[in-house]
Amino acid sequence: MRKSLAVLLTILAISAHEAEAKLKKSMKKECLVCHENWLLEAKVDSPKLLLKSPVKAADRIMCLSCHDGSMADDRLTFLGLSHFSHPVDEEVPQDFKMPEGFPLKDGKLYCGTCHTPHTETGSEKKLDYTFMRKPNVNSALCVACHEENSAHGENHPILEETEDKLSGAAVERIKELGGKFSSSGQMLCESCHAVHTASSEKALIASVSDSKLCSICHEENVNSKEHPSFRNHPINKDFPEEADVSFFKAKGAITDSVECLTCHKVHKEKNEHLVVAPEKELCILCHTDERWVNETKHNIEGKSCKSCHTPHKAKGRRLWSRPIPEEAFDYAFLIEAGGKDDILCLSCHFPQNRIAGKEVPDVGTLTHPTGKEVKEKVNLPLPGGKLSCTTCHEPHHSYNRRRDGKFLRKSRLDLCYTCHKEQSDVKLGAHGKIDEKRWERGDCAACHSVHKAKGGYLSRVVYGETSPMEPPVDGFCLACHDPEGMAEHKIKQSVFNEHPVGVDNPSDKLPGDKISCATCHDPHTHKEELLRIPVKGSSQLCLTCHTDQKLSGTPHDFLNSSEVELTEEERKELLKKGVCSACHTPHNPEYKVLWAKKPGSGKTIGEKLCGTCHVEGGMAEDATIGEHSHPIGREITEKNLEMIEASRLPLINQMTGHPARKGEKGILDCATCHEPHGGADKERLTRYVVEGDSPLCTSCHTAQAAVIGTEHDLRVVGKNYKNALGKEVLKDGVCSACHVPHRAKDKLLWAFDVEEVSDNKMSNYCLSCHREGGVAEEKVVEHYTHPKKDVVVRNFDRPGRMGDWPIFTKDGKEVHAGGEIACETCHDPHVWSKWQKEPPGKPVEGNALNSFLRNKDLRGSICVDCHGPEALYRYKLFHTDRVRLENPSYK
Amino acid sequence: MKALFAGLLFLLSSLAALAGEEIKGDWKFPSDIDVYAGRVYVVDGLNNRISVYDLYGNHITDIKAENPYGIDVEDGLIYVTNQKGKLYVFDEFGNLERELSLEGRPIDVKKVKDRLYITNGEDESLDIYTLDGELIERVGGKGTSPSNFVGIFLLDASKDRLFVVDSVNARVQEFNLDGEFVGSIGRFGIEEGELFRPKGVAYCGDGKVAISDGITGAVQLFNQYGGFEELVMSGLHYPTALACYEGELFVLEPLQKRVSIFRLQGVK
Repeated sequence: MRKSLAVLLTILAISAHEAEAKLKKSMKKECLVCHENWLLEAKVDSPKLLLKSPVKAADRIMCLSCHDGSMADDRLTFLGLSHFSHPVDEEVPQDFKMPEGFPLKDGKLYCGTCHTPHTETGSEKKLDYTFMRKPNVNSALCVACHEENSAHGENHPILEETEDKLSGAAVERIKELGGKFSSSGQMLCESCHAVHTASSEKALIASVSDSKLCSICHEENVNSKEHPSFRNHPINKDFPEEADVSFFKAKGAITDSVECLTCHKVHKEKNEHLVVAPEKELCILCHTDERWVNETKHNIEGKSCKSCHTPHKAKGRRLWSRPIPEEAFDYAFLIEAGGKDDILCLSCHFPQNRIAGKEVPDVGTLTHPTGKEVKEKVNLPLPGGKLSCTTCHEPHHSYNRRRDGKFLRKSRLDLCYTCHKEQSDVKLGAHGKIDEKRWERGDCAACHSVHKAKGGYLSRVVYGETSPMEPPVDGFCLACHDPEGMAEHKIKQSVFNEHPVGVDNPSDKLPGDKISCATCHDPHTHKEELLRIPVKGSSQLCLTCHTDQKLSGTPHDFLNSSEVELTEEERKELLKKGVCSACHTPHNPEYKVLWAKKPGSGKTIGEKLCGTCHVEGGMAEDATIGEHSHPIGREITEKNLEMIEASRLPLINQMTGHPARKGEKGILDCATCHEPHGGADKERLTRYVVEGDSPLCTSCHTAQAAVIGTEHDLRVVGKNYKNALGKEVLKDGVCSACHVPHRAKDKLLWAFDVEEVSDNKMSNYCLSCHREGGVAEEKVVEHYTHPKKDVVVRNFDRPGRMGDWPIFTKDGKEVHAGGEIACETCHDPHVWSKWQKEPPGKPVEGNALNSFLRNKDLRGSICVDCHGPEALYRYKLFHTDRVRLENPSYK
Repeated sequence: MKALFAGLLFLLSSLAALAGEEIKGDWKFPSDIDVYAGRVYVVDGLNNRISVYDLYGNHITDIKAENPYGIDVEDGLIYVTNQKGKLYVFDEFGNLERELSLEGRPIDVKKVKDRLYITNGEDESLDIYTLDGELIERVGGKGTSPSNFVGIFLLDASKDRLFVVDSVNARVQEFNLDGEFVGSIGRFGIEEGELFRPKGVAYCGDGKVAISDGITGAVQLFNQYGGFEELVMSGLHYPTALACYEGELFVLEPLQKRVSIFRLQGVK
């Protein structure tokens, strides 16, 4: 066993020794470990050969046999050879001049072009040197072939200080991806290129087709999710359709999408900032429509796009490059510029700004609004869905490419009408033909200034100083429609007020909180009189606000009333201008209350207005007030004022012609009782009806209302009495039995002729009925006279005077002395009894406490004044034969 | 006659190997393989994983690891090196049990008994560690003498011997478990029985050692004393790692993304 072991050990020792000896013996082994084809066996046709064909040192697999993780782990390098590595096994382009000392294999690049194990400068600790044909210190090896890609000024800089240019994070990221920096931190070719371990084309450590590589260092020059506030030209975007991609393709730029290397070239580019075309030409290759800016004033100092924009680190939206001064923000606040990018425009266009020695126009303080939404979709840009400067203006050129085109997106008319569709009818109307020598038909600028307007509604002109109480639009209209204006239709030619403006608009069917010209008129329409609602026929426009002044069913509805006879011409005129125009006109009135006609004569407004027609020879001459009519125009006594206020009938303000409002002075006038547009009684146009209890009369004459229910209320005695004017008690009210307000027979507004039964008119009022054949013939008074001869009756106030004892002259005038005792001295025809609360309501026999007597006894009476103790006797038997027979003075 | 004999020998060698079975994967230049308990472990380091298959090539799972390079599966534990000085120990389910820091540039690992044997590319040495990662001994260094290495690479072991690929020196060196040089297998050359650029080694039992050659594309069988036994297969494309399991030889061709399986005659 021991022997066997010894033999075995000997064999082993010999075997090991032989192998070692062979290695030592072959002085070429160091060469042969790579130059396999130099082996003698490789040159003979041995059946034991394991290889069918020799492997050369320059073959890639020979390199791999050490770099597969044994001597070094360069597997990624070898994998990269067929992907993103520096090209190997490829022919060198014909125009590429290989420097000396960099061999090719069969005319192709191979590992040995750059690498060699025979270098004497090699050091395993310095991989820049090891096995490189030239030490690649500071990219020297790279530059040896790629000198043109390293020249300063035409290439991405290398070997420059990066301390202030690169963030630590960027450096770390580059290193993570396999990039390298010089020992002093400078950029190298290998900062972007990893010759064998690249992960992207052109041996780059990251892709440039999506700008990832550039973004690592140029972090602030690209927008990103991490830095959404950065303002840079967008990348990773499709080209705009109109872009001239062919130029970029010819330059070898990235064209699948817009990337850093679409505009920039990293190598061999002479343009500043390494852009593929001079900056003046570059932007417009894609932004083709904006190229016209070079022909405009916005090509400031010949800087083209860079006049206002910068592709990187912009100061505002839209890659704005210009400073935005405080004045611009103040100005934007002042004019309420609310559009998304307005501040960019205003950064230059603020007052008194000068650029390059030239004053920059501003938009004034009254300018077209921005920042507001439009009512409907329009084919104009609306940044953020709202109006802005750029809605109308294309800052790079005008629609017609003309220098004086004011950067408008469309012709002025088309532009305005794009949003203001409803106003486009102006072309068809009178306002579309203003100063046709100067303005195109329908040109908005004839009236409006979009910027630097002089008044409301962007008016181009204003009429003097308008009252702050008046809507600004009125100054706008009056600029042309005043008596000296250019408009054909002039207003304010009358000394009397026009239709009021500046007051609250009562209607929600017409625009504006306050009444203005534009409440009734639409200046942009072509319809009749530019009215928003027609007036013809029923005057619907007027009635929209004056809802309580409909004339329908009244005699003042001239177009429909059977009581009015119109000539054909008058009817046509009324049909055209509306029924209200019979009396009123909104402009240039002849008198107050917008009176359209020459007013009649008279003291009060009512007399003048009503007297226009209700006058002899007038349209309503059959409805005049006559010689004796209800008094109007008198100064209102305190007593009457209380009476009228209680009635709630209006006094009429003689300044305005309208019912006096609280605190205003007014007088009794036609319109106190009458409402010419209707009223409660549309036939009589009275504010209250007269039928029945005659509320119109009794609302004021409350004391006389006591007649209702008495036997002087002819309804009580069952008689439908018709007075001399044809008024019937049952139809025309209780008062109409004796009185009428107009065309009365005398001052007491008596409704019929008074019979001369006695020589005293006051008594005759009573006796006209209380006589044989009179209405009250069943109550005929035979004895009613009081002696007059040698009798002077006095009704002065004296100590102890009691009761009510009026005396009258022969013609019925009440006096205090020298008058006669008439029926009304003892009787009040309106009051059946002062001492009984309710009227009888039916025919009854009277007594001393009723019977329309003014007094129930004679204490303190004028009777006692003369007759003393006999007075009672005489008073009681006044209407009897007895007292008259006994007293010769009655004879 | 000589050529006829050589051809016949080549044919027999080919027949000796039961060709036709292989495992393929979407690997990126895998570096090592091992077979244990019916599972094939493929180190797909550039994809940061170890792909696990059954013997029929069905993919079972992936074990995540950072840049793994060498592997040895023993006693239900998976030992994995990476060339940045780490050794990971996973359980059979792929859970990381331990992470050890190693010296130099660890290439491959073999666990035998209570020792870890690591080939160290930086120092061209065979480093012997305890299971806790304590370096016990370093064998070798750069050179051509016995127990020196130029291009030390993968290794395998029998129960008492270590077989270490000495790639540029064109040999496989044999050590005992204490790291003492025992002998060398292979001589420089490109004929049968010779090695030009050995890459993988596997002990296949019965004193047989299989060695792959990346340049010649051959896998040859030697005895542990250095004697050439037979050519298992030639014409492979850059074969590297080997593993023997129950009489079958698993050969990794990383550029082909393939593990070929050969049955060895006469090997239990």
